[in-house]
Amino acid sequence: MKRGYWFYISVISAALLYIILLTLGGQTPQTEQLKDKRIIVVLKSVEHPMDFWDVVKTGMQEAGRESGVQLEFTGPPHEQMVELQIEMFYQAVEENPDLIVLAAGDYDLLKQPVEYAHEQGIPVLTMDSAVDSDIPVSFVATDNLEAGVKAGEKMAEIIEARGLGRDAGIMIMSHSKGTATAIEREKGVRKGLEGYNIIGTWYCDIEYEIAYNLTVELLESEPIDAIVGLNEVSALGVADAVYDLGLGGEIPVVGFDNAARQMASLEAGVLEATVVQRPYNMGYMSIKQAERYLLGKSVEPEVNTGSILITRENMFQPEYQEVLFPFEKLEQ
Amino acid sequence: MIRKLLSIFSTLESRTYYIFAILILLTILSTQLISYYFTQRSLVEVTNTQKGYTMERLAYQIDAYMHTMEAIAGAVSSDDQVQSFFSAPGESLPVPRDDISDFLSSFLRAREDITTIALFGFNGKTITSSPSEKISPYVDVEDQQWYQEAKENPDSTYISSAHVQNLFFGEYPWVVSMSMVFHDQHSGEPLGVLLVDMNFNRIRELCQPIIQEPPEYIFILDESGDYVFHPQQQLVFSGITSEPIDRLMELNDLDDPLEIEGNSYITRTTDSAGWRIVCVTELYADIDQWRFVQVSYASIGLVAFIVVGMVASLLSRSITRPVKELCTVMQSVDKGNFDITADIDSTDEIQQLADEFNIMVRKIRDLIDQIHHEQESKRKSELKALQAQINPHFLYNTLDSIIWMSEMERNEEVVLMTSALARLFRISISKGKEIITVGDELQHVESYLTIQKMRYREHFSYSIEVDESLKHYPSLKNILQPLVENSIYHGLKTAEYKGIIRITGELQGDMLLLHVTDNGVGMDPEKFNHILSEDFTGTNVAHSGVGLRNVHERLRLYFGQDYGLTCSCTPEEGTIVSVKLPAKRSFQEEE
Repeated sequence: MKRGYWFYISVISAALLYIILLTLGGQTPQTEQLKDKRIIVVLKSVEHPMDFWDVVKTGMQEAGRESGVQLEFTGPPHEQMVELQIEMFYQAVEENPDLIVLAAGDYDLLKQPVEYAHEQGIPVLTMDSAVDSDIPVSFVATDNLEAGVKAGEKMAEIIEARGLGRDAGIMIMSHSKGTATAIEREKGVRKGLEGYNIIGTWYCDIEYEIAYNLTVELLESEPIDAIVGLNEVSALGVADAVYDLGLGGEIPVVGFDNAARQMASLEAGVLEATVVQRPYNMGYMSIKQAERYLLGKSVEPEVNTGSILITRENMFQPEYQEVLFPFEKLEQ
Repeated sequence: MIRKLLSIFSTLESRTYYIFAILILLTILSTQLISYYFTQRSLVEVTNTQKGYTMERLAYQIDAYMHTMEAIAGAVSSDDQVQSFFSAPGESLPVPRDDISDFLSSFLRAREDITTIALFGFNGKTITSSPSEKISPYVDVEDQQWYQEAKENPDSTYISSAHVQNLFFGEYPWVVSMSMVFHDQHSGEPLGVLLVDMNFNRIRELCQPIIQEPPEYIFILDESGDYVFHPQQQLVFSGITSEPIDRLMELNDLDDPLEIEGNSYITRTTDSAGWRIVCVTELYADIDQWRFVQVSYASIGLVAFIVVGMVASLLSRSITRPVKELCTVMQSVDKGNFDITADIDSTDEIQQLADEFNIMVRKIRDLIDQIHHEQESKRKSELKALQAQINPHFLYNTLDSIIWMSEMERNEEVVLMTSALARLFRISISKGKEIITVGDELQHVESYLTIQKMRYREHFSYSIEVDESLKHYPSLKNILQPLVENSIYHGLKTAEYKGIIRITGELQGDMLLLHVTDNGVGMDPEKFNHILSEDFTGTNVAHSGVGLRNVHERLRLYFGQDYGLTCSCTPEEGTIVSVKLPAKRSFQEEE
């Protein structure tokens, strides 16, 4: 036995003791490890339309509150300002955070910035809208295809219930030509309405007026019996046009999202149904996934936060109330 | 492998160390765990007590708030205008509708937290704090839960969960609805249902101040266990998170906090609404401080381990060092050194061991000395036994010769022979000494030869040619005489010719050689060697070999294995028997 061996054994024993005490005397919460992590969230829009992104942000903040991870929010004022978002994304990369959460304003245009972040060693997690890249560690979003199918099937159900027949003309009002959400939803709607007479898809470029005017025009020129609006503004524009033309209840409208006015329209019987996402869950889970990634845990490549079909009948059910009517923020 | 592992426990030092180290480890662990448990407990208890008080205050505030609302409701329902408006039969309007509406909205102006006050008369009259045309055409008041609950229990106040009020088209505020049946003050007749909607944010604000740190939050359940409010309402409803509602519903206000998965739950129930306010606190929130405690305990442990290591090392060394010293002493004893004593300074036990060892070694030494002594005397007696005695025949023959010479009156010869005999005996006795000088030994053999020459006059002649310088060397007595005797009786007596005996001496290195040469019939060297060898068993004194063998043995016994007799035989020179002696100037005869 070498002399002085006990010195090493003492050190080893002390280390062992420390480890035992650490494991027995209280777990190290992961929040400890996350407190000095910084995540920058680049949203599609921080001002308009407020509701959806506000709720996303609330969900993110709730997740951050739980874990103590530092969150910073940035994003252009309007969803259409893709170039500004790209600029803001590069800015976020320069700040060298531990991770960037991105809701991509454009499927193709954000590809290069994401690759740049990857080169800089900053992981990117996408939420709500994807980019054309395998780089993001995870994509947390509503399965828009599934949501579209829900809307399409509901429309089919309405058409059947009203006896409009298979050749009833269905119009799709989409909000954007290039956005992944719009493409997926349309695909889903068409899938849900397979065998029905979809006469065409029109685009409003996320402008309420365009949706409204286009609908008024088309209702006069085209044989339209039912309309699907693929997001908040397109659904609202369509519903308002239908209502203003006195066709409320006659031409069924199925939409997406849950602006307060859509809810009123739903109550009033113009909007027959709306498929809503769970923006709160989306925000919450995207941050949770980001945290998992930062802790080195396994992260699923795609997380579906789900969607709900809301009709007049279930809109005031307790479990949906907060999805449809988010809490106001309290002043701290 | 196991053997190798076990080998680290093989020394006293390591065993002592490990035992102490394990003891310390266990001690620190148990103290730490106990203190951790109790500190954690007391910490949790303190926070829980504090939480309990805060929660009680919150419950009290909510109750107080509800009472205020009830008071407002009471003021509304007991108002004269309201009373007369609703108690008037049929469609008649004793008071203008707008007056009452203004009255109601004055409450809203005074209190921002009231969103709506509405009266729904059983007679079909409706008055709200907002213009009545805003009432949603799509809502049937009688389907509303707050309406039904109030109507079913006309004597009590109903307080709803937080919900979205859709009474007014296009407005969807989050409210808590308070509803009750209001009565005619005179007849006691139920007149209708009074609704007061309270802005739910007001109640959330009430809950806000008691939420301190991120891992803490409050949620509210109603009497049936449904959520009135939860900060993660959407996560709860979509099943992403959940609360242990079943167990919480069994929890009473004064019970110990419910502890599930590291969270502590405290509930307080409000009297007015029957709500259960639940405060959730993470149990191990103060982890930073605990880390510090753990690090300090580990450091204490480290110091303790090192001290124990040193102590164990010193302690065991104080035991093993004297043992090792004793061991070294024992090893030298193993090698035959008995003159050593273990001089060890140590604890009584080891000291005793060393003392006993010393006594033992001394005894062994005494025994060895004794054996040595005995062997010595045995050797001496052996030597004595081997010492050749003057053949009595020789003495008899000599004396016979003297007598015969005396009769013949050959006096000179008588004198010569008698004096030779006397000299022979004198040297033979030599005061009992074993060692005499070579010179004396030569005189001894010359005396013998003188006598024999006189007896066998013509048979042989002799010469002694030893250098004077050799005569001082010591020699064993009576070694040459038996050789000469052997030459005479076995070599010359039977020879047909005149024999010659020569005695010569030489130095060869550190060896002194005395040769007895005769020209007799000779002796076979093989036979000679046989006589000298161990397995020669002849005991007959008369036997030719016994004398030679005795001389050989005596030489070897006295001087060692290197000495003794050798024999060479050549036809030219005859037989040479050589005596090998150590060439030492002096030889102290042992006692």
